[in-house]
Amino acid sequence: MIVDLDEKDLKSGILGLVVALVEIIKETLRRQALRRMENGSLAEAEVERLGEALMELDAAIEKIKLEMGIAESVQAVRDGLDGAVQDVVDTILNPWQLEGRPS
Amino acid sequence: MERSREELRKFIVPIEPSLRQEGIYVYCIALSSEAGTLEAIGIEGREVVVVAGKDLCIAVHHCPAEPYQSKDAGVVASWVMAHHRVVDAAWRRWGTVLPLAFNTIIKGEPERDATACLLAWLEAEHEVLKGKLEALAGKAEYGVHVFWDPQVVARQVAQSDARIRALEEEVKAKSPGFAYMYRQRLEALLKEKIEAMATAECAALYGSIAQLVGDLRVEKPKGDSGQLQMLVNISCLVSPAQLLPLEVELARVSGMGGFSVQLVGPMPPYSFC
Amino acid sequence: MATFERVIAPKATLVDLLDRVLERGLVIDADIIISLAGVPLVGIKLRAALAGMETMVQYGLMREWDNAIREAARSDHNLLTAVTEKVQMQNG
Repeated sequence: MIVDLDEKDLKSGILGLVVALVEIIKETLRRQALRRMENGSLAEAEVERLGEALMELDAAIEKIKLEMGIAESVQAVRDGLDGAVQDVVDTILNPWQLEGRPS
Repeated sequence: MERSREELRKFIVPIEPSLRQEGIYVYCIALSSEAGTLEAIGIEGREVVVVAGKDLCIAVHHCPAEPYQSKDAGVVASWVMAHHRVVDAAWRRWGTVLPLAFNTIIKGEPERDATACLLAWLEAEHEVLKGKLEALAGKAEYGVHVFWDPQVVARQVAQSDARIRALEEEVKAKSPGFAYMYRQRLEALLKEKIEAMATAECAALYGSIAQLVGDLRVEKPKGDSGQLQMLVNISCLVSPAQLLPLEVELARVSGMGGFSVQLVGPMPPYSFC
Repeated sequence: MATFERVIAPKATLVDLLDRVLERGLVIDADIIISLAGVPLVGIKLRAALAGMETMVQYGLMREWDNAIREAARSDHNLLTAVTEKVQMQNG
């Protein structure tokens, strides 16, 4: 399953919804499959296929979670960088007395 | 004239409907058929009663059928503390619990009191609850917080990156006007490098933690601490065997210049219910 | 100063636990639960006050936290020593 997400998705809160939705779908599929397995109406090949589909969903959920985490951290890094970089560059260029700082 | 028992019974006042609707405050559910009591450790000193179903039990206290509300932070704090105290006690007693959120109160119905409603619900959800408890057996929740000091990291990157050092030398050799113009360039370059390095580390960390723990939930990195800014905030479901490898990995991360790690826990698995 | 803090400052534990007790946990279907539709039971300001240490200290609730944390720390002490040694071996 191809998962193609970016920060815009994070900001619009879509990632959270996607995760929730995928997990609900997975849970529903799992319960249906269990029921059908119990009353014997699933062929072996179907059981195998369903199992694989659920595993794929699991992997997709995990991937999305990681991407969400990374996007959060990227945002936090960007938010925290400005002041720090200005200070460090000040130190580097210190000998040259710069007139005022670019804002 | 003597009244018969039959007639006297008509004068017995039935239980008030409002009393029949009294509520039950629910703390947590455990895999056990042990009914009983956890004593008076509940909210406002109420006795925590353990109600048992088939092979599940619930820690509760009886209360009016309305949520606990107060504008007084101290009062609410004591309630929240009590809630956690009960969940914690249950956790120690039975090893695994499904905690409920603060203020989960079951109400009764005109025909059926709260206890009956609760037991009916327990029966209906039996398989699902049992499945969840079995999945949580022996595991605990931990919070992983990774902080960085952007200044420390910025300084380190500036000192160690070849391109930045080269640019630095160039700038120092030129006039103040030139330096001013190149400042922008230097800042942009430094930002780019730091961002790449920090996000690569974070990405790697999410990946390694995902491999090391049973389940994880990404949280918003909030709660900076002085100079330190939180970059990563993950709730993890950890089995005993997974704890040490997790700590080793976190110790490695905190060994990197400018990064710090906090591991909060063990906590009952509130986030994995 | 890079640190690995295994024994947690009370404040971090407090905030983390608070968030979880108030917002996480098993959800029971609405039919049998009492709730006030749309009204948060613990508002923002109250939430902030709860997270402040002052409230806990003021109401004598810190001692309970302290004890719980110390107990957890004691049992984890050996674990922490083992971790530290292992990391030193890897770095050294």
